[in-house]
Amino acid sequence: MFEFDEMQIDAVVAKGRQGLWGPLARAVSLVENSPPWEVSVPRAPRPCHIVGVTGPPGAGKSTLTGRLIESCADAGQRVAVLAIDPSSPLTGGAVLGDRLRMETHLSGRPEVFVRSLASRGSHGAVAGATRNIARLLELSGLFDIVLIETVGAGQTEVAIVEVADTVLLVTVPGLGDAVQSIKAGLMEVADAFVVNMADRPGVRETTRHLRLAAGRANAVYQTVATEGQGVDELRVGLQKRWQDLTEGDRLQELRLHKWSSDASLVAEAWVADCAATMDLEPQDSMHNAVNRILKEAAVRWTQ
Amino acid sequence: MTAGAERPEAPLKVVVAKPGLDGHDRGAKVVARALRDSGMEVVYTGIYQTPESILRAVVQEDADVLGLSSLSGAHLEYAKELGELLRANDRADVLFIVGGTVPPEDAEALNDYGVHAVFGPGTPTGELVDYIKANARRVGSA
Ligand SMILES: Nc1nc2c(ncn2[C@@H]2O[C@H](COP(=O)(O)OP(=O)(O)OP(=O)(O)O)[C@@H](O)[C@H]2O)c(=O)[nH]1
Repeated sequence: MFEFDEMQIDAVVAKGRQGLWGPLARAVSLVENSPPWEVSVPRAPRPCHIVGVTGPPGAGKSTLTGRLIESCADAGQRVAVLAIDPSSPLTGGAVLGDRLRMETHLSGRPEVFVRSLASRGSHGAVAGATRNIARLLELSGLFDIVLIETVGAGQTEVAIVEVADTVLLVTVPGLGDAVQSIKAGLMEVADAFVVNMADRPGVRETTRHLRLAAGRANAVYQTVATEGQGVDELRVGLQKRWQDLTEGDRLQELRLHKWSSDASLVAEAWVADCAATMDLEPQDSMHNAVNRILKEAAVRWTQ
Repeated sequence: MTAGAERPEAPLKVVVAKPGLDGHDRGAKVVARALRDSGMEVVYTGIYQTPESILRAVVQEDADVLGLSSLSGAHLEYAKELGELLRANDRADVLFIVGGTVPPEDAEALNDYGVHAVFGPGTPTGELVDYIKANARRVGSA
């Protein structure tokens, strides 16, 4: 178990303030390389807005995130990005290509921190690590907003973005994609929607469809990420949401709620890790197998 | 504390960059995929990269390896500047390799700039993978 102590954090902060990102990058690796139950990140004295950006493959999430970096930075906000791409389940390797789409918005902005992460390991492990890294960025006090970008392909990704205070679901014109997002369970976790590629036909329909399907008063934004169109409006919308969250007790309530799902994620990761090393007998009933896993997981946890 | 087996070492993280004005990056992409298939995590930063943007990627990504793909003949300049930047930014521990068309007489100069190995065109990717696995995270310790 390791806990970040004040000295480590102080070094990260002192260097980070000068745009020297080595110590923070190392600290992120420490968290990334540890199972979530081994990491303890102290609570930050001041929260920062953690925003999840997700949506179907190719919807323009990386391009949009790059534009948001620009818009936020130009508005005086200090931005960090965690860009998550899937690991190959076969080899464990990954090509992390999101940074490529953000590069042009990084030059001349040494205060922006971008980190690519591969979604290693089990569902709970990935989401748990992402959560801990986001909390570390928050603790550093070096950022006003942390964008977590991940493809919305399945349950793991839903778990990842649920770490965020605000979840943006990015779609494109065309009914099919919107419906697919709903299927993936993303609709329920989204706080706001972006219809990107608004330079394509069908924007209005998709926007209307999303407003209806969401069934709540969620904001729907339209953007052309490649041109930067609509991005400032989105950024202002995010700022407004953050203001609303932080004015009353809403953020505290929201985070308390997330905290319990975070705990269950870590528990899930622990149990999965434990089960992976057990010899379960195929002739055993499911009930007995589960019984054995949970007992063993509990024993190992208390050891 | 571990729930299961010994934790395997974390995958190697590699930044693959294509500096300069040369628009071709097919070679770099092939390399990126080969490294992924051998279990590495590859951050591909694309073409037209400057030494500063490559350094930023190496530092922020906490990379173990930097691979420069160079076809434009400007590899000497870029490698020199990057070598200096890596040292100035406490990242001389990065395994620094250059791939592409490099005349033999340039290889020595590249070494002086801090490049650990040069791989010419047509090097089997397996050779590259083996080299990286044998040398990454060990720079300066031998
Ligand atoms: N016409 C148009 N093209 C766009 C727009 N936004 C992004 N694109 C293009 O769409 C393609 C995919 O963009 P990305 O930003 O890589 O999409 P992504 O959602 O991050 O993709 P994955 O990471 O693969 O899930 C790129 O070629 C972009 O240039 C837009 O608003 N209009």
